[in-house]
Amino acid sequence: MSKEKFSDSVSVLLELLEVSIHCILYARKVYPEGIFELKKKYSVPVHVSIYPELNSYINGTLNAVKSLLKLKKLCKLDVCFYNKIGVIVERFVFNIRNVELELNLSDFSNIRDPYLIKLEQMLRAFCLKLTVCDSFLKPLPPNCTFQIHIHTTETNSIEIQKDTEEFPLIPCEKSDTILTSPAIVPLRSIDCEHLNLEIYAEEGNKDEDPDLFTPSPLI
Amino acid sequence: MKRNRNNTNGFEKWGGYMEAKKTKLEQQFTEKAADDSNHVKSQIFKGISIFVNGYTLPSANELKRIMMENGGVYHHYHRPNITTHIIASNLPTAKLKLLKQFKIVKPEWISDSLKDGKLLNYENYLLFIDKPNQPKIDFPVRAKNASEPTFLSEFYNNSRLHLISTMATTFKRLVNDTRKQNQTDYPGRQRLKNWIEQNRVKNMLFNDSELDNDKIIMHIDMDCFFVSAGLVERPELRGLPVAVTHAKGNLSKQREGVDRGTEFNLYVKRWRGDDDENDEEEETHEIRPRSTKRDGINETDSMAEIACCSYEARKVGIKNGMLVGQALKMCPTLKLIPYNFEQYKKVAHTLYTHILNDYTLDVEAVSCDELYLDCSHILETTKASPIELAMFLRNEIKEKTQCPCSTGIGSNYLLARLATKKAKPDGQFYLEPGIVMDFMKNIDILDVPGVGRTLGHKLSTLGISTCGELSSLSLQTLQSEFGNKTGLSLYKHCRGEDDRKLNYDYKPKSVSADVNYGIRFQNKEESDNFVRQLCNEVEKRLDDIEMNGKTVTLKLMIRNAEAPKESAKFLGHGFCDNITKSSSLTKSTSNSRIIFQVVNKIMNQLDIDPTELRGIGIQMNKLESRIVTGPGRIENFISNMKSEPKINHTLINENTDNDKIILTKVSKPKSHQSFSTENINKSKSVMDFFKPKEDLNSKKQLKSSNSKSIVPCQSLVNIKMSQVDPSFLDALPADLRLELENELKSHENLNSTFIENQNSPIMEVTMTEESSKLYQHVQIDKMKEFIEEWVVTENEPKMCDNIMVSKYLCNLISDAKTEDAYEIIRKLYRLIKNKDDLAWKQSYFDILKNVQEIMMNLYNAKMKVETTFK
Repeated sequence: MSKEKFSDSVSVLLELLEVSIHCILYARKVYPEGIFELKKKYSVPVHVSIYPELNSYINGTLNAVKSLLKLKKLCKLDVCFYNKIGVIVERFVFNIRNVELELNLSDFSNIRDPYLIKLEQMLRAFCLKLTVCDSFLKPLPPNCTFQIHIHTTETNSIEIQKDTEEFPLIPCEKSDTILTSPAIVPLRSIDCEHLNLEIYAEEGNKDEDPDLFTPSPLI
Repeated sequence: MKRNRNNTNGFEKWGGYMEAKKTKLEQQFTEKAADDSNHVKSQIFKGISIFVNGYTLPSANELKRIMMENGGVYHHYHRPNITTHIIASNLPTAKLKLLKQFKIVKPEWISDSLKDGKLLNYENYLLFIDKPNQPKIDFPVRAKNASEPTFLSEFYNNSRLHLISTMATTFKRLVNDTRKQNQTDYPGRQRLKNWIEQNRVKNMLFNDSELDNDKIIMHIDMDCFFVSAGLVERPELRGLPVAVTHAKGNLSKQREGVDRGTEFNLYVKRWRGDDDENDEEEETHEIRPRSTKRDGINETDSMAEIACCSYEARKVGIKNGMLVGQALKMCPTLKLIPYNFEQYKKVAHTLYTHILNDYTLDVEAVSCDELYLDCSHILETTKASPIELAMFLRNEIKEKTQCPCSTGIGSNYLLARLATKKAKPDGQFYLEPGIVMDFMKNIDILDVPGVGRTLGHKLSTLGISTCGELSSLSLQTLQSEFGNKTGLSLYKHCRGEDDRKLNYDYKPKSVSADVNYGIRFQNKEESDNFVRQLCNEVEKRLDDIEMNGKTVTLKLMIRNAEAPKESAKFLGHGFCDNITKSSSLTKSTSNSRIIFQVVNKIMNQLDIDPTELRGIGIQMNKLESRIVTGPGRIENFISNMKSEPKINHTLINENTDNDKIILTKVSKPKSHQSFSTENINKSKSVMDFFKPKEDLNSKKQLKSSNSKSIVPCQSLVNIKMSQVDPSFLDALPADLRLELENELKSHENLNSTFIENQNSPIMEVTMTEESSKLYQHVQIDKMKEFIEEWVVTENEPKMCDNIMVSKYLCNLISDAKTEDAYEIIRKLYRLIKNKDDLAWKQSYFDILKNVQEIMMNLYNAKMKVETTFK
């Protein structure tokens, strides 16, 4: 645990987000399987990337998330997938409703789930759900890329600037986050005293042939 | 020259000139006729005014002279209403059409009349003859068979049995409806009183007939109803042998595949039964009604049956149900008249209304021409004797309907009926208690109701043919021979005992549609189509009586393997094997689609060659009235859970502003606390922990009930075509979409009286209250179980359950439990897909629609769910 004082809930959530992003990337097969190795988390095996560039991107993003969570200003975190011409085709949404900052896990008398058994169960179920999410979704088209988006307010993005100097945030365009006629596959939600979030996948129309939109080489 | 405007000469009016000219010409004609130069020869054409059209012989001028000389009038122009005859020898069609309504006569009429010196009947000289008199060319009309789409409706329009059976129902309902009016005034009773007072003096005989307090039942039966009703309009046939039949006469060509001999033999064989043990006995009984009916029929005689024949015809031995061909042989002068259903209806209606309005409401309708009435009351109030009542009533009926009837009076059903038999024709008979035993002795056993051919035959093998002989057998013997029930009723009936009560309240026990005429299918598709139509007919009949049935019975007639391909009766069923199969539904219904599904399943199980089908009947049994419909399945779950009775009542709220009526079922739990018991057990702190969340919920619900899109109950209660998201429809496969559209349209008609009001607070409160209760107190796993049970056990989704489920799902979604909602929908999809029923699919889409609406609101995206059933 870092020397900075922040809530247990935040660290739990950060951990969860990290594991989830790795799981999603593995499940959606945007990277070769070889860059993942199996690790045990929440008593279940999960795939975690060992590719340094990818990991630094994820960690850099989560660093910004951490700062935002402390301010309670993180609304949403998206993992978006783009086809080879950069059109968004799918996204996983972590809709964060509540992170209990004041809750002290050592205060046993006021906690419903003092040993975090229920929370762990939920997190485990969450991870398992992510590993099977490909069965609910159509496969991604080849040569996809991905981005992680953080939804917050402009003031807060400035406020956390000093925390994210090594990994500055880039504002994204609206078209990068909004799918055309999306269909939602609800995956799981976690609702306990520490955390309240849900995760769902949004699927756009993947069948459109991206080649049709590439400009003609004659022009 | 100055015209005098004041002097009206008729020129000013429109067409005034022509009128004036015509009048003037006529005036000139009459003047000339009166002139001395005109030699008036006769006045044969007095009152006749003619107009000559076109070339005639004699010419127009000649005719004008003839008319002038013989007292007639000649018109230069055709003057409708004044011209009596148009003279023409040839007219173009256009003119013919124009002048059709006038008398157009050939010129020979004039010349011939002149020759004969008297006015001849112009009818013989008509240029063209009105349609009815015109000789018709009879095209052979091909009887339709059941593979044609309009067959069923035509069949029911022409079927005699259908009409009679529906007429019986009509009158049963008439009795029912009239009884509900609670009338107390019976003018007929007063008339009877007066009549008795006038006649008593002369006829002291009846005076002492002090009535025992037993019930007196009167049976009224019209005498050969079809004939006498038919003769109302043909009085010239009275007293002649007359028979009602649909056949026109004789001589049909022998059709292909018909082999009457074989067919009759098969019938005879079946009738004799399969017990060949006492063959010599069979020989003696072979000449029974069944075979006499078919006697002397050869291959080309008419196979139509006589529906009813007059007593004059009966005297020569003609019987109802006899074949026309045979009857004509027995009585060549037999007059055949066609059915006249309108007349039957009229007569029957007169009969029923007369008795119901003027005498008593205690009437049991049997059929259009037969009824029982409990006359104890009438006799009590009028102090009349049964015979007096019978005489008076019969006279009145005869007067009103111009048809004779017979009445039998007895202390019960059976005796009244048997008495009528004795009274016929056109008479009355009172079977007084004292003479019952003697009377019964000589009654033919076959006249006892319930004794048919088979039972009669069995009894005859025991050497019994009259009730007297039957009464010598002990109850034990009868019961061991015929079973407990039949034995007991035989024992009682032959002694003139009958404890059945008159049944005034008509409640049909079953509804069915049977067709065994014209069933000739080429393939399964044709038979399926026909069965579907038949199901629709059943639905219509259930709708008519506002009932639902719980058991579906399919009756099939399959051509017997030995029977010839074509039946002797044209398109008849011929000699068949009968198959009857029933299937029970878990819930009563009148939905033709559900009925069809069940029937189709049975048909497939039986695996029948459609070309061998000769008759199909679909019957719904275990009827339940629709008015008391229980709460929906899921509502039941809740009420069961609550383990305390729920008060259901219908709330009708009339909103005067919009003039719309809201009808909604409101369920009120007695106490809201009953649910919370599980929570109460827990510590208080936990309860407190819950509170803010619940507040949040209710706030959300409140919000959702204000916005139109999240109030699914309204759109569900009455979905209109316009309300359906077109993109949703487009997403469906074409055939399903079509079905859905039709369904919605029919739904709209169905619900036209069920007008919802979107602004009504009551509706929203009710549904929100009820569904939020469900939501708060039913765990998701429990809900999944409910839904599974709902879909698996229920035949047809109830609207209220649909609303409940979609409300529950919407609550889940708005409460961020979207993944639970998702799972429930997937489960629902799987269940409904297995069910493969359109109504359920419809309900899936209904639920989906509401879910997607709320998804769009909260997530700006629809949920990824299955939208097709493939």
